[in-house]
Amino acid sequence: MKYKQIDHPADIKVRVFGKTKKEIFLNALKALNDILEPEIEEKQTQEEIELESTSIENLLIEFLNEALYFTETKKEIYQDIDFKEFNDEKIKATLYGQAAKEFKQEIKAATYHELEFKKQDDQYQTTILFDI
Amino acid sequence: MIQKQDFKKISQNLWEIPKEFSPEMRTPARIYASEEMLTKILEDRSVNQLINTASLPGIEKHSMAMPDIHEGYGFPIGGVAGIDTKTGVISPGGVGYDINCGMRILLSPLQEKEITKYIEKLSQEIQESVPSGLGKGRKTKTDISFLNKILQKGSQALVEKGYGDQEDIENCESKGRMESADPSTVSDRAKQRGRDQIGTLGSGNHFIEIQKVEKIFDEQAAKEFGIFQNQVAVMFHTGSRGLGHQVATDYIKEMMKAMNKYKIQLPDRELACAPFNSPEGQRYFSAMSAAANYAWANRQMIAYHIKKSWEKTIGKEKPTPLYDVAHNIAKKENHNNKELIVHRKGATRAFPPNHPEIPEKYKKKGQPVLIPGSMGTGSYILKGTEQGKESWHSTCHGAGRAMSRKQAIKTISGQEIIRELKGKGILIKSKSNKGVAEEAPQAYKDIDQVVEIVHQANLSKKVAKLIPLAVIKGD
Repeated sequence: MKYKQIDHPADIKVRVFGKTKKEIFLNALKALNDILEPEIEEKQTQEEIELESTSIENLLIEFLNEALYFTETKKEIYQDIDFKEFNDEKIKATLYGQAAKEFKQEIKAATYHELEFKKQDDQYQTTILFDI
Repeated sequence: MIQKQDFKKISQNLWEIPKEFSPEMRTPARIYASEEMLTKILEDRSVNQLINTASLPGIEKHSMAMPDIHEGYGFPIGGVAGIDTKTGVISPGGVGYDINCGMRILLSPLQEKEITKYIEKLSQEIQESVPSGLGKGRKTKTDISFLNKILQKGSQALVEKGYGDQEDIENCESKGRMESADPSTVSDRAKQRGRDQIGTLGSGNHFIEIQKVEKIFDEQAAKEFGIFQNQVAVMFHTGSRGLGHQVATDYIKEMMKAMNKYKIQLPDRELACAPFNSPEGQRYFSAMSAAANYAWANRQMIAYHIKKSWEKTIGKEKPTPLYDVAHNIAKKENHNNKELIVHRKGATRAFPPNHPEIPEKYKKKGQPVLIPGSMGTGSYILKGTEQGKESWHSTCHGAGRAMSRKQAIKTISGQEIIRELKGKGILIKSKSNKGVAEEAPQAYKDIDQVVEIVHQANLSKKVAKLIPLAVIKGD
């Protein structure tokens, strides 16, 4: 399972799973895309990103908000990540995706609310709350 | 797990978690609610969030929640905190991502029966002239120099350009402009997101409603406010759109770093904050004020398009503004001779009669307060009171969600809701059945009960109730 949605009264909460931290980033991006419900177009797109933060948790949220910024301003959706550099405090990567005609759901931001990276039975998991 | 026994009953509709409950609390936490509502409130994590809010440095008296409280992130939705500007902090998490999300209402001089035949056409016209949806902008992008002017001067910048009148400025919280705004503290990214979104509704629970006055509770205040039975009004709900979301995102990130610098430890990262008088705190306050100004300009532009649509379909006698209120904002206010930065996240300011910051024409009765109900139910106009000082002159902001969006989509049919409301004479304009299901009346608390609590607690008093004739939903 890549992620599952958890009940929240007003916003959208997801629990994301991954064998590696990189996979958490990829699956969290997938969750973000699924929430947006994009109407995808054929045109292929890519975006370079480079972010530094103070912890893996903060880096994940800042990464998602970075993707969300490009999604909203460029009308694009990103399905794959080519990691050039990656550790708990830095990510340098190329995001690959497609143009999107429109989105059915708005996300205001990925939040830091009760954010925690856990490792259980050889699997990482984290819970992310999206403000919608 | 917090239980009812953990609360001290202060009065009929006021409950307190004492400071001793948790070592992190600096003050008690209080909730305005009936006993029945409190039971329901305990089902989610909103009380934990209110307790966390009471841990903010410099918080005065209590962390407080209005009866429409529900779980959010950082602060609960419906949360209020007054923090000493000299010794305390400012927290972007106490404002939220939709900075100055708020309400405006325009009152027409006409009665329902005079516009019945125009409702469909008017709704259509409004829907076409006010774009909605994620990142949906207008066709033209505002140039950066005018955008900076909007960030600086709020709705005044638009009125100067002919998109409104002096009365729009007068009848608006803070006259549509926070003087503390500084456009240079707003990132280029935020500005890029804001360039084509002035005059757009957004999605989720944002809406425009054509309403009629169904009931008047306070004849005198209604008269002072220009409200009469069966009067047609247009009420709408939106905020600072992508620009505000980006300002919040940028500054929560910055505050996260500042927390280490100022050695502040809090139970939830989303409460990230900095001393109000630190460079980080001041920069956020200036940027938040600029985003608040953008939101007032956004509502000003929507009001302009509503009036245009009205003129086109109905003709003369256009609606005029009663008031505009913010419900996600932090403001410098004087309470008990102390300057506080009052955070209201899903709460509305409700100043009493004779308060210097309300328009002259409302001085006798108090500030008009606008409380929307859920889609297809009623909305209220209230007035601020002297007794409201116990909540830093704050009151509720809406019905408050009772059911998750996921649950709503699973159990409610959007089409059925549209049919049901049509049966009640309410027209729904929406491109998304899923969106209608998410915002269905069943997914929210009962607005009548929520308003009754703030009325009984004297935080604000009922003036009139309005019911919808048509709803234009943000898709």
